[in-house]
Amino acid sequence: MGETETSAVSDADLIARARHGQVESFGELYRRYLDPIYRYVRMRVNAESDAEDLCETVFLRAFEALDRYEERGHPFSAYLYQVARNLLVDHYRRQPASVGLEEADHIEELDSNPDTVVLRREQVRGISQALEQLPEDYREVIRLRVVLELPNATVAAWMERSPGAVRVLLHRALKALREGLSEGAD
Amino acid sequence: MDAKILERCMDRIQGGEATLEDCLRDYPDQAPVLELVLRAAALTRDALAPPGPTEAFRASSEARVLNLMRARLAKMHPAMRNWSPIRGRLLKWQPAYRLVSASLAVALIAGTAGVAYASGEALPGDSLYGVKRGVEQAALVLSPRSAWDARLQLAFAGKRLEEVEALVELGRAADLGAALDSYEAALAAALELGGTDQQALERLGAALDQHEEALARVMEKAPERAKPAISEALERSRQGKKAVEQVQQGEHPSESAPGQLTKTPDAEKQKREPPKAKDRTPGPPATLTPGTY
Repeated sequence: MGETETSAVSDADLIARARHGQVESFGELYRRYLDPIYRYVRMRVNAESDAEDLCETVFLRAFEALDRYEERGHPFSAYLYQVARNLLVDHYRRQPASVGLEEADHIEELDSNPDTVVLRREQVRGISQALEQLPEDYREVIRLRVVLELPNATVAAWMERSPGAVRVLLHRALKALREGLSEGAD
Repeated sequence: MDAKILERCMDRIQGGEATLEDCLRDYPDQAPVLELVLRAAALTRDALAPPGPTEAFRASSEARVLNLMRARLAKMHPAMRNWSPIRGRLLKWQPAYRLVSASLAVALIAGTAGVAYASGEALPGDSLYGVKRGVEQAALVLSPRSAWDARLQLAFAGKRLEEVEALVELGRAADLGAALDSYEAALAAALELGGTDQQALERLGAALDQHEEALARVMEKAPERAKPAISEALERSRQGKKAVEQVQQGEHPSESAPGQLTKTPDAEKQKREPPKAKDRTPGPPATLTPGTY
């Protein structure tokens, strides 16, 4: 982000201004967190259109509930993440057929070479199957820390754990994933 | 393998400060297991990393989201605030109204979206009606300011009345309820967003005159069972016109003003039922006797 006046303002200040009707302040929050929230949601659903709708709904829900939001020591992005997770649960309930948590349909977007596409699909399938065997918290820390490359502190805030706990969780999750990939290859 | 070393390596690799080989060199004792785990992480990231939002989405989405927020916060003129019995409902985010992507809206403008074009004449109950409403919502999405949203909503209200007239002509009274509901919702939105400058009020007033004429025409031709619903829509249109006139004259309609709509307790949650067939059978006699009817 550029060095604008609003980009130097804390989330807490922006939230306070938004609560007083300054919609543009919430717009700044939107710009700050659109990417990670969108990418998290996009990773969790099949269709781009679903990701776009859900992403917007995350921010609108957060705005609607702004009066009830309390920081409690967690960043605003952690709150958005929780809203996103709740919306995803509702989404899967409404559209169970679309649940393909790691079956991304955007592979063709990345490469039009048919051989590469086939190889990548196989790769994705193998990794997805290995992930599916893991406990949910292992999968989630891999999604956030490895796939989305979020910093440990952010992942800790989002998962409501200490940074040390996330570090250990990631260690265990990656070891388990590696074992699963090895078994899949055999 | 030490969890802290793993984290440090991942941070350095993700931050572009080091490669995997650098990390293996830095921690030779841990290298065998570290390599396997880091390669698994890299494989997973490369395979599953999702794309970010497209530029088109980023640009249109922010405007759309902020417009919705502004509409929610907009201070209605007191006359409008007390008028609309369903205020707030329309402004709730409705995921069920799937927004047609901006690309489809652009395709419509370019005249290449045959389905969207074909949907233009669809009526409530038709298979393409959802596409038609989706294209309208896309127009709202692309509108840059709430003032344009108000004009769009007014246009949509007019379209809904055209659909009502068409449905009456076709004898499809069963679909009238949905069309009238949508008309009232669009009208309420237009009044909420329309602003209080003279030009906006004149536009509203002129549109409401046309709506009243259209509803009166429909009332003449509609079946009896549909008339209560049409009458209600006509009344709302008239009350809206009255509120607009009062605002133009600098007055502030009060709760007790004659003809002022009163918000019923669950008005925001009530859904209009399809017009029911009016029961024309004579009422039962005062004392019920089995077998009398």
